[in-house]
Amino acid sequence: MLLLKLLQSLIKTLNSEGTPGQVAAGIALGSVFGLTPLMSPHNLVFLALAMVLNVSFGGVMLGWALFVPLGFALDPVFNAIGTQLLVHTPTLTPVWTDWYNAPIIALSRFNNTIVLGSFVFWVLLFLPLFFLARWGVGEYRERVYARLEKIRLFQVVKASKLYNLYKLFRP
Amino acid sequence: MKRVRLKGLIPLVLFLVALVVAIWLLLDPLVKWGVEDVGTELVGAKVDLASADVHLFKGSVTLNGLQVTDPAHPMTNLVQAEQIVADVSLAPLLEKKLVLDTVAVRRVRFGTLRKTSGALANPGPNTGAVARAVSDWADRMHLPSLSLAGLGQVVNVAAISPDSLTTLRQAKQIAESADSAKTAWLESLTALNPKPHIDSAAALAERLKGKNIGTLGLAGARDAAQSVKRTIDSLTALDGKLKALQADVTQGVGRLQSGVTDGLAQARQADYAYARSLLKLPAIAAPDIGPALFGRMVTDKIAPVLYWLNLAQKYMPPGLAERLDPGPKRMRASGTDARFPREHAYPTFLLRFGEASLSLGGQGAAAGNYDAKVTGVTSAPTLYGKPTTFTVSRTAAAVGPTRVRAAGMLDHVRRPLRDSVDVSADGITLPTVQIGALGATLDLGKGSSQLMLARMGDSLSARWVWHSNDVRWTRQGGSVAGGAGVAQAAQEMLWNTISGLKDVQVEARLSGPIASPRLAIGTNVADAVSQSLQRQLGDKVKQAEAQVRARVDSLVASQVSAARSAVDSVRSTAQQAVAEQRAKLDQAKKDLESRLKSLVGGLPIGG
Repeated sequence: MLLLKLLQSLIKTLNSEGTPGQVAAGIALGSVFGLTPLMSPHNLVFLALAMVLNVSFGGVMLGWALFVPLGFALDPVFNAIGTQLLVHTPTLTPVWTDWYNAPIIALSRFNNTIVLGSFVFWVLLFLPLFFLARWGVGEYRERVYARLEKIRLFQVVKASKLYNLYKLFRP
Repeated sequence: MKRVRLKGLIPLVLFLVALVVAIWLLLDPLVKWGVEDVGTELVGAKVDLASADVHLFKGSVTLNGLQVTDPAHPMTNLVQAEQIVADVSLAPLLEKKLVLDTVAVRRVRFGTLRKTSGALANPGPNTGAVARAVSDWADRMHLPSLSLAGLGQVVNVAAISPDSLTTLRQAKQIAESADSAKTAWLESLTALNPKPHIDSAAALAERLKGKNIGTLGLAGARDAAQSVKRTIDSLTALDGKLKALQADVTQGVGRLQSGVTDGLAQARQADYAYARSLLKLPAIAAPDIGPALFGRMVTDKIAPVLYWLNLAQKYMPPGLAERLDPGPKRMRASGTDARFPREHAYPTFLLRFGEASLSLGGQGAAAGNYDAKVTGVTSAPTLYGKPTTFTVSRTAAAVGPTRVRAAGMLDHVRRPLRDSVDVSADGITLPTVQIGALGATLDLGKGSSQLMLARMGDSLSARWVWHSNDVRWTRQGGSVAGGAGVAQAAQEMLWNTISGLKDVQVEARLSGPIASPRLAIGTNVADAVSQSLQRQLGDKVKQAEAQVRARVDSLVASQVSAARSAVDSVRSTAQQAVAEQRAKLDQAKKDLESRLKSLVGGLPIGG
């Protein structure tokens, strides 16, 4: 509940009325926290971006929550991608060697197969996810919300504190 | 719509401040946890650290109360250090590399007792892998045993099973090989089918007998000469094939004969040894007795040295090739960390210079203060370009005129790895050895120990000498298991022999591949035991051995004879058949050449 309150206040403070584009950008940005290992230095940069850029912070949280299980499930795929890039692509070795011996960049843990594989996966996923999420939020606000409003269960939920989070997606 | 949200800067700054404060507060526990976690993984037993004190901007790290558990003895510490102070270079930290300019270790002690067990409840698959490998190595070392239990027992030659005799198996194999080879060679000879060619040549020679230009005319002589030459060419080609077959047969017969003479002789020696081992007769030659008496002590002593060398090999590999290591532990999969070393860059870990003061407490002969220095410990020796060196010397002795000196060099800059260790110590307490076969315990007391070890690539050469003129022999209770009266008498006799020895020297030599080195142990104890056994039991052992050999000979005689006959048969049949055909062919060729000369009479006709 404390977390919920914190979340609510954070959403209120930052952005309680996001456009579909802002929510979609938040989801796409937040997915990096779920897909890549959380305690990786690059996530500090993306957290800063999520705070400073005018994206929906609730969307960021939602993206994170949605993609955490996917991140766990896809670890073998990330490992394969990372191994392919780090170990089996000799043309990239000079790049990795430069990075590995460069200050700051070396701290990014890019040389771990899971970190690199998941990050590359997220980069490739970012734009499709953004457009898909923007379309989805728009569709929802236009078509689904009106119907949901008439359902009694929805009205009960609406009255609860959870609704504050949900408010983010209403038209 | 604004793309940047300036009010978001406030929580961001707050978050970053909180993060810095958290790191500042948690850095010491994190370093403590890191040292314990990595150390435990490395050693294969608990590594405990009382506290860590990190002054990041001063580049100083102090570790207090380090205890490293001995993996083989979880209630004992392998090493314990009161304080470790390290000067850390800050710039390499930005490249995630740890470069320690100096490390000072204070009050190092070995073999201290632990309050709690340092064994791991759930060791990981890689935890202590090096220790396990070395332990397996020591277990794999074949050490002969010295047992008196077989003495005085009836020599039961019926226990020698024919199925276990190598000679029988090899003799059977040779006989089968000889038969199949003979069949194959005769088939090859049949396939070449030289007879029609030889007969045809003989017929041609016969037809031309007494013919010349005068009788055949110029054209007839020319045609005949051409026909003779074609036949000679055909015979020459066929002879080439027969010659190759003959070489094949000669070579094959040679191999079979070598199998009969050398192979079966070696197999029979192995069978003698096997049959002898069934009788549990004691080895009575000194070179066999030495490893039986002191082999376990030597492997136990050399194993820790190999453990450290293997550890160095694993974590200090030569070359600049990229390396793959397991990634960090986390809830997510660990993945693999790839390392990309580059020339003239920092290695992932480097200790330029380390110094330790060691104290061995008590009033023992080894008690006193020691000074240890180490240089160039690094994860990438090729980058550092210099070998790792270390020295240990005694600075103050508590009692007695003891001398301790150790020096070593680990050159992993390039392949092959070159490691050398030289340790010598006088007046130290030497190990106590249980010698079950002799019913005795040998306490070597105080003496000297000298180790010289060199390793190049996968080859090892080591010499370790222990010498003491202050030994104590203690008789163990009990008697020879399963031994008869003769065995008891032999043990008594050996006890009388060894208990008089006050000066003992053991010299162990290990050489050859590290995975399976040859171990030779020379010691005056083995010499004395051997002489005593020879004197008292030599005749009995020789008699028993003669019985065993006779039994083996009788079991293998018929099969060996069969193998010999089979090889003789190949020689007489296949080899002879090919030789005969070649002789006939040669004769036919000579006849034709003679006819040719008569035909042409030295004139250039016939092409």
